[in-house]
Amino acid sequence: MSDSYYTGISALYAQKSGEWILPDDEHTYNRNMKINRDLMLKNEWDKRKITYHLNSEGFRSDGFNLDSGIMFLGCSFTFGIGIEDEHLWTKRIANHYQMTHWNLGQPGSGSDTCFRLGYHWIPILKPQIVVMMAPSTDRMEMIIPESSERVHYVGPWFPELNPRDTYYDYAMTQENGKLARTKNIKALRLICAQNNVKFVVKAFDDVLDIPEYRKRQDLGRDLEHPGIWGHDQIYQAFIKAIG
Amino acid sequence: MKTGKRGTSIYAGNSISSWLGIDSEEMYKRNREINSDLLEANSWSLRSIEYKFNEEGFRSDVFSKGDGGLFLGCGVTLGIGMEREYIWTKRVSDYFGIAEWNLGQHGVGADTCCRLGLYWIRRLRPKVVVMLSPVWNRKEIAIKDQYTQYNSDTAPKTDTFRQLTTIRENKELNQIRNILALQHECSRYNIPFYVRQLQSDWMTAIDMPVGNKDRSRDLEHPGVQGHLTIATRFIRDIGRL
Repeated sequence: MSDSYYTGISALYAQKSGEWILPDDEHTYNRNMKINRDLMLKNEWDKRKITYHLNSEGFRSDGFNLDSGIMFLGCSFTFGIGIEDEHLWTKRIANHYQMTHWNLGQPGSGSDTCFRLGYHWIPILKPQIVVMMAPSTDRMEMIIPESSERVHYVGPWFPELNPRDTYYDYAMTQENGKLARTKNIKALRLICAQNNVKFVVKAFDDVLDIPEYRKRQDLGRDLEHPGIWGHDQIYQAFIKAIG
Repeated sequence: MKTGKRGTSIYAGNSISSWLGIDSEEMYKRNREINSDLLEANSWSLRSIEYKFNEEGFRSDVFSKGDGGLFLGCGVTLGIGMEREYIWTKRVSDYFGIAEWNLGQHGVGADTCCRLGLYWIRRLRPKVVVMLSPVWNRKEIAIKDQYTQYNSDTAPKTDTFRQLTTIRENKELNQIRNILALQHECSRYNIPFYVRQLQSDWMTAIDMPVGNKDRSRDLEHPGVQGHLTIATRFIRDIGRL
């Protein structure tokens, strides 16, 4: 398989820094400053700034050198959409253990993506620990080489799903995502064991009380993802799990 | 088949039949007209087959306590068009003196092998797990409450889903994922796991020479010699139990 399928969200973003990454884009910010101004001010998004630094492979991560590192797998909660580096749970855990921060989180992705990236990068980087925050089970991925994105993340929320397609049924039947998550986690466990790497996995809704962070109105800049309190909850849960 | 139990077989429990799937009476009659030389080369006018399924719907010994080998695969492993005594799984289990727990299912891919394996390995704790991994263009998905089989020919041509069965990268990742998951499950219980691939077709996979006439009754699957070759290879892989 071509190495190009093991890069981050897009080669276009690689080695770049920017203030915005979808769904935390400037248009959403401006709209929220108008129609959700109270929430934005409550979270001080009128004062705070985010810079997304992406490494040469397109990940919001330290460079992939051969230091002693800790690897993270997951979705946008792991990538850290709408949150600064210093509050991002993965960055705080890496700092806590004084290890290089290898964050392979991908916005919009599911456990298929965690497997694809872990399968490629764990034997290369040989991290000391792999931490996976398993995304929800309603997300799948598919590689379509001729498309611009190359890797498509699909779930019931995907606007282009056609209810007449088998792919719609595939995405809408929970058993597919549940079984896929089981397989992906088992496969990653084996890869970690073969490489002598500690593997810690928890489901995203086991480490974060989602209704609670919404009730607290603790929100990232896009007002969809968790804010400082939510990232702290995830950080605490994984510190306890890693030991 | 219903998704309520992940270890569910395609076939009905405790059933017996003389024909199954592509190895149908109609196919046999048609082959007598147009491929009689191949049928005769394998003595199919003198032989008969009994497809007998255990209470869980597998062409297998009963799932009881004791030492057994668990076999995963497609129609070749199920033994389509073949008497049970000649199926490679039976030869392997007889060689090692253990029960034959054959979870082979006709027309399925690695998804189904993995689903069944993850369910039954934990429950049966076999002495060995052996997988003849099917061709890569097959995909099992649950639709509503049914597990359904697709391949690159049967997946709707205009449907995005088809790309899971046609694009090499999707097929390859799926194959690897399923095999690693099974390997992990076996390692949890200290069970040796052996896998070989049927990547293209069974004749190529087992190096059958062009023109070879060894065929099952449906003339699409390996005959006695082919099953013996597969069994011999796995016996050599396993060595001792």
